Amino acid sequence: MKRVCAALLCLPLCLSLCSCRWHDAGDLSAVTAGAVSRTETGYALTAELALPDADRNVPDSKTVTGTAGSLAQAIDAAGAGRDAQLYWSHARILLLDASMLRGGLREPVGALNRSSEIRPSVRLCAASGTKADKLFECESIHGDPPGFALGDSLELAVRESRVPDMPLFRVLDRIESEGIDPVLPSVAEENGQAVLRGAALISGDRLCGRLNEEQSAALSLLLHAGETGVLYDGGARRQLTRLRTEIDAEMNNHTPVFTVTLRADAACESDGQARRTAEVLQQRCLDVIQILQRTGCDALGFGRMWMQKDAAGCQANADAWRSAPVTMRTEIHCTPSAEGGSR
Amino acid sequence: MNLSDLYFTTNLDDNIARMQNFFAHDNTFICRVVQGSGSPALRAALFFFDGMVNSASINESLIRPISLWRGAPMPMEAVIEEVLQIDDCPFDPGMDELLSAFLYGDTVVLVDGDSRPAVVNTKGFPHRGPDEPDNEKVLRGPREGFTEAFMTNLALIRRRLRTPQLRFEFTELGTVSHTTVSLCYLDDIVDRTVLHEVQRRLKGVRLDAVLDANYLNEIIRDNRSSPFPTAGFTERPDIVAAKLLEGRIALVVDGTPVVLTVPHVLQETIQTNDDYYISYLYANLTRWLRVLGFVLTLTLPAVYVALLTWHQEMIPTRLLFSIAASRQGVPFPTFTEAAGTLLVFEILKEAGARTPDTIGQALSIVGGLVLGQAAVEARFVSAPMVIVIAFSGVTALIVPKLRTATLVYRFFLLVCAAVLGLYGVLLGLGLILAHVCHLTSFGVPYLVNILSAEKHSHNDVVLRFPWFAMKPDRRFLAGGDR
Repeated sequence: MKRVCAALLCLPLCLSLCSCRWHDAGDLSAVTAGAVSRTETGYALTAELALPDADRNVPDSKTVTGTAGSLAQAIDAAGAGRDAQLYWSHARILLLDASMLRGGLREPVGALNRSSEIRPSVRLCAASGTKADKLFECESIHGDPPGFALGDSLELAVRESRVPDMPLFRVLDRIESEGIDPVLPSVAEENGQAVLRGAALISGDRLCGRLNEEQSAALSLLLHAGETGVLYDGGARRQLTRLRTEIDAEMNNHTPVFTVTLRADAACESDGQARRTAEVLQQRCLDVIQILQRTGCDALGFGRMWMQKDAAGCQANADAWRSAPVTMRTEIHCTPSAEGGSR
Repeated sequence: MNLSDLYFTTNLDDNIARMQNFFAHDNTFICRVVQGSGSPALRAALFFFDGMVNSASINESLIRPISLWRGAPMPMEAVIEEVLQIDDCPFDPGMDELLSAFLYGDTVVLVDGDSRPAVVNTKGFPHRGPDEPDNEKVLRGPREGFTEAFMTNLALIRRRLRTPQLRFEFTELGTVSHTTVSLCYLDDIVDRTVLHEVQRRLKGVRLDAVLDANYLNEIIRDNRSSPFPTAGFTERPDIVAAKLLEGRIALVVDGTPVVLTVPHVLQETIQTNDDYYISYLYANLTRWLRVLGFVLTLTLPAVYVALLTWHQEMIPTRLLFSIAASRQGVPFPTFTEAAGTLLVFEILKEAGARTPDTIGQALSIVGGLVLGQAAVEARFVSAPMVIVIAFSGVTALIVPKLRTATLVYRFFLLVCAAVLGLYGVLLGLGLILAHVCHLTSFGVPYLVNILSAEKHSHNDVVLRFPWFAMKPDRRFLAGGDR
C-alpha cells in the first residue's frame, strides 16, 4: 500500500517535471508564429498571438515583442505583463531575421531547442528582403493571422516537396553535425502578403546563398521532404509519388565521386512524357547541386558520406566535396493516369 | 387478537365468530354460510377476501354444490371428495399455511361438526396481461413480458422450455409479506456449486417484505458496493429461457415482473435481445456500437477536460481557437463547467424519468433545448461543453444496464482528468479495469468469457456468431470456463 501511495504521489511530481500544468484554454494566449532577430544587446522575439472572437470565424491577431540578452529571457519578456500566459505549443513557424542568419544560428537555435516553451517541431524559415517581424503585418487571404496562414502555406508546400522541411530539431541536428547543412524555406513580402519564395542556404550556421522557387523545389525532391512532389515543366504539372533518393560516394585516388539517384513514379500519359520529366528533373537537380557546391551549403550531406568512406582524406581537406564530380541519375516510372498530363 | 387465539373447533358458529373477530377491522373479509338441502342439512362456512378471489369459481365450485347437496352432514374429507368440485384443495393445513393461502386469495371452507378446514384455490385477483416491457423493447422477436402474477410468469417460462429438466423451487421470503420466490433452473446443466450458493444466500435473507427482485439482489449479490451489476434483471421470458439454457439460475419473485438472473457477467451488459433476433451482421455492428458508446460516455467529458486544461497542444489549432472563442465570458473553470453541466443533465434525466410521459416530453424539450440554448447565450456554459455532455448523455442510453457504473465512473474520471490530465484518465481507467477484474458473481469471474482461453466461450462475447456457427454447447458455466 505504501508503494502504491508513493507511486501516486510521484505522478504529480513527474507531471510537473514534464512541464504539464493546469491552465484553462481560455486563460492562454495562443502563439501562432514567432519571429526572432538579433539586436545590439541580444535578441528580440516577436510573437503573433491569436485572439479568438466568438463573433468571427477567424481569430484576430496582435504581436508582442520581448527583448533581452538571451532568447530564453526574450521569450519570458514577450509574455511579461500580460493577463494570459503565452502558449507556444501551437506555433508552427518561427521566422529568422537576416540578422540571425548572418550572425550565426548555432547558439540561438540551441537555445530555442532547449526552451520548454517552444516545441522542437516548429518549422524555421528565413525572412527575405524584409524584417522578420514585419511579415506579421501583412494581410492573409482568408483573414487568418498572417503567421498562422504562413504556417498553412508551409505545411502544404512541404507536403508537395516545394520547400525543404526544416523543423527546429532538424536544423539543430544539421548545425551540430559534421558534413551536412540545413536549408531554410524563405519567406518574403509580395504585394502586402507574406509568401514562400525559395530557400536560404546555410553553410555551417551562417547564410551562404539563396535558391529560387524552382531550385528550392528540386532540392526538396532530392531531400524527399514529402512522400510526394510536384514538378512544373512549363505549363505542365507532373505529380511525383514514391520519391526515393540515393546518394553514393566512391573514392578515386582519395578524391570523392558522388552519384545521386532520384527515383519516383510520375503520373504520365506516355513513356515520352516520363522521359521528358526525367530529363527536366535531372537538369534541375544538377543545377541545384552545383549551386550547393558553389556556395558551400552541404544540404545533401556529401561531406558526411565522404567522411564515412574516407575519414582521413576528409579530415585533410573537408571542402573537397565542393569540387567533386557529381553524376545525377533520374529514374521516372510512368504510372498511367487520366490527370497526369498537362490537361 | 393474536394468531394463537385463532383455532377451530367442531362448532361452526364458534369458528365463524372467531374468524370474524380475528378479521374484525378488515372490510374485505367475507364469510358466507351455505346450507345443503338435505335433512339434517350439511352446513358450511366459506371465508374469503373480496377482490382476491374468482367469484364465479366460488359460486360454481363451492356454493352451488353445497347448497344442492341432499345428503346428511359429513366430515371434511368426505365433503372434498363428494361435494366440492375443485382440483387443488389442501386439507387441514397448519394455521400458518392456511393463513398464508387465505390471504393470497384462497377460500377457507369449514363444515359443522369438523374442526379441520379445507383451503380451496380460488385465486382471482386482477393482473395485467403479458405486454411487452417498455424497458426492453425489440425490433423483431417475441413481445411477451412478465407480469406481477407469479404463476403466469412461471407459465411463460415453462411454455418456452418444455423439458422435464426445468425446475421451479419455491421458497417463501419476508416475515410479513410471505412473498413466494421461485428458483428456476435446468437441472441437467445448472452448476451445482452456483445453485447451492444461491440457495444458501436466499436462506440468509432477513427482511420484513420482499416487494421486488431488487430487494433480494442487494442482499444476495457479490460485491454489493460495486456500481457494476453482478446480478441480471429482465422482464422478458425469452431472455430468462435463454439464460437458463446457458446454465444460469432465475429468481422469480411474486408481485413483480422483474426476474433476477445469476450469475451475471460483464458480457451480458452489452448484449440485447435484438442481438439474437436480427441478422448477426447488424447485431455485431450494433454490439460494437454499444461498446464504443460505453467507452465514449465514460471518457468523453474527462478527455475533454484533460485536453482543455492540461494538453492544449493536442487540440488542433483551429479547434482550439474555436473552443477558446466559445469559452469567452464563461466564468467557471472547465472542470467546474463540466461537472455542473453533467449534474444538471442528470437532474433533467431524473426529472424526465419521474414525470408522466406527457409532461416528460415537454420537460425534455424545455430542459434539453431551451435551457441549453439559454445557458450558452447567457455564457453560463460554452457550446462545446454542451455538445460533449449531451453526446456523453445520449451514448449512455445505449447501455442501460451499466447506468449506475456510467454515472459513478464518469464523475470519477472527470476528477482524475482535472487532477492529472490524460495520465489521470488512464490511471482511472486502469483502476476501473482492476476493479472489474476483481469482481465475481456467485463465484464466477466477471470477465469469465472475455478472458477465457476456451475457444467456444467467445461465441457470443466480442462477436455474436451466426447460429450456424454457434457451438451446440452454449453453457458458459457447464464447460471449463471457470
